[in-house]
Amino acid sequence: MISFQLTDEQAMIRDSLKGFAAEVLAPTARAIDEAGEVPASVIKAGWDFGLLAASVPEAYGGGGAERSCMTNAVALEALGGGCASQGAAIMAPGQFVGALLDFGTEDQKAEHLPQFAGETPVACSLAIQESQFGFAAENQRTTAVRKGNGWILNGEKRLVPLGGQASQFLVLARDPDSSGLGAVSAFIVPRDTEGLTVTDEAGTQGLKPLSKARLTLTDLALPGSARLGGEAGIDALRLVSQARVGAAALVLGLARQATDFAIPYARERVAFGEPIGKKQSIAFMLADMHIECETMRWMVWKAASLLEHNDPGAPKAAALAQDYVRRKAVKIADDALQIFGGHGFIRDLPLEMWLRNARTLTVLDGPVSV
Amino acid sequence: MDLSWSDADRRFAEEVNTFLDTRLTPELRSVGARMTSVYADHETGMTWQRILHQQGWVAPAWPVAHGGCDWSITQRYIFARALAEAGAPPVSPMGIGMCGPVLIGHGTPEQQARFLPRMLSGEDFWCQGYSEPGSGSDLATLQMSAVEDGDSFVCNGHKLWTTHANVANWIFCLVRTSQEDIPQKGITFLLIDMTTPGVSVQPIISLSGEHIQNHVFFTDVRVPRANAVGPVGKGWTVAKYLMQFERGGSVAAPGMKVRLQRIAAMLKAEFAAGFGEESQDLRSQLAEASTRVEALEALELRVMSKLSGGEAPGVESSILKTVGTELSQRITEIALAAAGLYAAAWQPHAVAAGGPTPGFVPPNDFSSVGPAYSHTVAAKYFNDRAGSIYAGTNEIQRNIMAKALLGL
Repeated sequence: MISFQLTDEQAMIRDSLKGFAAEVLAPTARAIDEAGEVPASVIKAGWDFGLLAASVPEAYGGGGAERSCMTNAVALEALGGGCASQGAAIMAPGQFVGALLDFGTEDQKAEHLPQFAGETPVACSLAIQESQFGFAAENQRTTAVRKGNGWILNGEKRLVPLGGQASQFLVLARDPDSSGLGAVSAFIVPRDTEGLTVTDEAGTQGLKPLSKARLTLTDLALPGSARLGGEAGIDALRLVSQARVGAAALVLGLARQATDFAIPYARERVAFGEPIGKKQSIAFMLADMHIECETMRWMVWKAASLLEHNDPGAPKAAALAQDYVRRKAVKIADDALQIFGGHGFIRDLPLEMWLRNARTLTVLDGPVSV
Repeated sequence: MDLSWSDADRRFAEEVNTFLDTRLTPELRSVGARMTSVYADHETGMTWQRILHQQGWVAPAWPVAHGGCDWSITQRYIFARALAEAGAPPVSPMGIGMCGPVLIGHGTPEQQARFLPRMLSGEDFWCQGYSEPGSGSDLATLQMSAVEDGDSFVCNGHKLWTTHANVANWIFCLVRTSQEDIPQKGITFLLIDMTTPGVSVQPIISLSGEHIQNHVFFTDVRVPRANAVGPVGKGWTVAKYLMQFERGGSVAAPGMKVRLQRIAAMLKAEFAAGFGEESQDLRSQLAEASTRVEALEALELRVMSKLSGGEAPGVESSILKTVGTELSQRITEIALAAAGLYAAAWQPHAVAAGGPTPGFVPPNDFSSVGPAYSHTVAAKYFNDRAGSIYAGTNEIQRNIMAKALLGL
């Protein structure tokens, strides 16, 4: 039965997070962007919604709720509608937890999951991105070579979310003798591992408050138990697809926020004797923004739903959703700025910040996952 | 949120595909593939309609009591999708898709008994008399008059862009029965026999060189009062009911996927034959269009899901119409670029044998140049410009969205 209906629980989570985004994240977004740091209090407030704890099985102290890509997509859209930077910071550890739930061995789950069921926020994240033109997740340059029972990793990861605070990273690396996503593994790397250098990546255009780091891995030695999933490894395509849909959901929230911000302005701003929203050049722009927000949502939901149901079409749907959202979200943020004219270009209003954030989110493969 | 088909839906899809495998002949598929507008040529469309009628599947959206199918909305979507994917020539929508639902919703039992069975069988072929020279998207300003005279209306006026009026024997019209009050209140929905004295049809040759639309002139045409559908003066309410059918619940994306596959196949064949060079730009355009088709399909599924839940499509009809027609136009542009020089050749005889271009004498050997798919691309490109104009221009749709949805 084809249905786009959210469950009661998903609708409740969406409404709660939308309220949080409107009342807590949005009002402070500008100040936090200027400060360049997401306050610990915001991370804690987001953590207290219990999304991560709920997804941890009861055996490890969590709520035992079913892991749901759809719920995560709905949550990311809601948070992105308040502040994408803060939303990304709150949700980034979900990449680590989601991967553990999906691919971790029982030993790995037992070791790592209980910390996410507690009341204290835990910072950790997924390291996918590398510095190369036309970066593709399947062409990781970071390598993982077996040595005895363990592994040796070499390479460099860029723009790793929560890099400043994370106690652990999930690093994607490739078997140098093989190719494609089938050759990609994920490794749990504690921050204090010898051979790992973490460097702050400051000065990005968008998502400024989200801490981002460069990880340099130099003959980094890991035990065999560090490879996520043990001998079975991971389904890297699924992992990357989740990251793509997560980023798309977050920037979708941003696009909706920009559209909703521009509509009342178009009703109130008078030029040449009438509200600018009465002029078709503006009204049509807003109608198109609305169309694209709706279209993006159904594409993101479709991809998230297929991922949730392990449908073989999920990776394609995720790539298409990411591609579509990349094209449209930046355009929407730009159009919203255009509607505000000069007011959109200066820092008094959030338009320019949204455009920077949209641009950044659409060039990364995903600072968050569903 | 669940996008998986139920077991019953899968079984239904198999049943539909089995039917198409046996009854949709290669000849019919060939005509479907050569369509240049949203309509198949008349004869082929009627042949296919009769086959569907024999099967009892010609009007899936109608109630069973009137000859429709006892299908869920999901099953109707599956059926429409299978037809599009198989390249079936569509049944003309004016009767079964538009006038039929109006008669079921607003007609008298006598009107239903008289018109619906002949509509299903194809004995009556309908056209739509809405637009006039001064009234297109702003339809409520229409001026064709119908003056009551005993048991009849006497009609005078001029309808324009009337698709298939040259082959139709009935037309459903919006006519003005009163000049008082606001324009919307003086309109009546009227059924007119095209063979009535005073009705004349003149062809309109479109941008693509084809004859699909017509002028229809009415000069002192007497129409029985019993042919009014709904109360006299309430035709606008009836028309709005119909417009929801015209604009909403479409299944366009699957057919677009087939068109993109044909373009890709044409390019591949050209490269294999040593003609042309593989163009990265064209591949990129195809990929972008494919993504947009996926987006349209997600919208269509969403609307289908809403309808299944008993909700009206509402403003989403406008979104679907706008996105669907503009994307279709984009695909015609890509096809044109992919066909290259072949798109410059005017060869309507290769598009549809014998027509639909009046006055064109095909070459004796019926020869044509270029791969088969390239024969249609120029005509399709030109014809598809109408997509953003008909059924309320896309500017009107955006106005609807801006006002009704965004409160501008």
